[in-house]
Amino acid sequence: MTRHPEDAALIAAFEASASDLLAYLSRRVGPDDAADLLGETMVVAWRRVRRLPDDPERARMWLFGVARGTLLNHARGERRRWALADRIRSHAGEDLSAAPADAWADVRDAIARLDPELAELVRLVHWDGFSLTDAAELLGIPASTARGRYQRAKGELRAALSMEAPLA
Amino acid sequence: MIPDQLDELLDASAPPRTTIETAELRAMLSEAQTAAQPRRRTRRVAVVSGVLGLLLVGGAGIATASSDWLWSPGLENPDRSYTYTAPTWGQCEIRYSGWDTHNPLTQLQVDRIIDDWFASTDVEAAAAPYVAKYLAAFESDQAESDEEITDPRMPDLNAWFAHDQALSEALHEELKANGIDTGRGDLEGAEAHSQLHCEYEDWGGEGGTP
Repeated sequence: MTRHPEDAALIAAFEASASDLLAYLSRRVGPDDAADLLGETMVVAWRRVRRLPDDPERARMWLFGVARGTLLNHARGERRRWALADRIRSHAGEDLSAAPADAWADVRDAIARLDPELAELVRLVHWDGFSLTDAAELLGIPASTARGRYQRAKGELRAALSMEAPLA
Repeated sequence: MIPDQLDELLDASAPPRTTIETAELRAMLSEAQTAAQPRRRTRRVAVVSGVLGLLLVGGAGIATASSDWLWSPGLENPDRSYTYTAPTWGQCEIRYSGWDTHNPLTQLQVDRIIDDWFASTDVEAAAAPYVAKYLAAFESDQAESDEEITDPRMPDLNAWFAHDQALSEALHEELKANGIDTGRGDLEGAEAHSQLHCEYEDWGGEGGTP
């Protein structure tokens, strides 16, 4: 399949980030549609492969940007079923059913009760591992806005989880 | 620096992730790569010394029959590409420049919408409903004309105009769906370019240097 250096780079980028992308998409549309949207993300990424950044962190960021675009199209009702996505769907179902009730459920609930734009910012930073600056870029908002939202989100989470602010 | 216990809690609260097997991932990537390729049989290689096709501002540029091929400035990037099969000229490709809006803010928005549309949409399918409409209109006009049509290129020219117009209309619908040109005059004075290249095109000595 690989014929050009950028092809190999894209495959490597997906191998490094596919599970994270699937988790990101699942949060927005659920595991069933997320597998199909991962397929769509791959198609779009192949079409734009020459724009793939060389730096692995930027490449990961770029893939999330492509995934976000497929989410926007999904919201407009455009979708395609992928046969290969069925296996990912079934694995996702198994993983979810096998996951034990964990100690962090109350934290996730507290995040879910935040304003959606605050919650997504918290998830991008703490679940997907983005810096606040990169999360802002992905969401298409200024970094200063992201910082403000993030501080607000953490304040609300501290209150919800009855936690004290750390000493400066 | 004292670690923030809330940060640690938030980091740890990430839900378990589905691990995608490498073999499955690569199979899916392979299928996606195939789906991403334009549906055309051949593509000619551009050479610097090739003959430049015409580019008509606000309209469509036509290509020459030369096998030396060069896309016009601004159309070298195949990301905004549309393909169709002409009656006798075989597989054709229209490359589209998008809109030059003369407004930097609108331009950014318009470019993003157009790039996303070409990248994520089956553009041939999106334009298909309009192709038949334009083709019927051209053929109807020609049938009602008193002039006898002797140009053997006419079916291919009609196909080109129909597909080019259909592509423009489908794209305009997409822009409107994204809030562009919905009464504020965003595209007032804007210009668009496109260029055609067909596998067996024959312009009969027109459209460029033979």
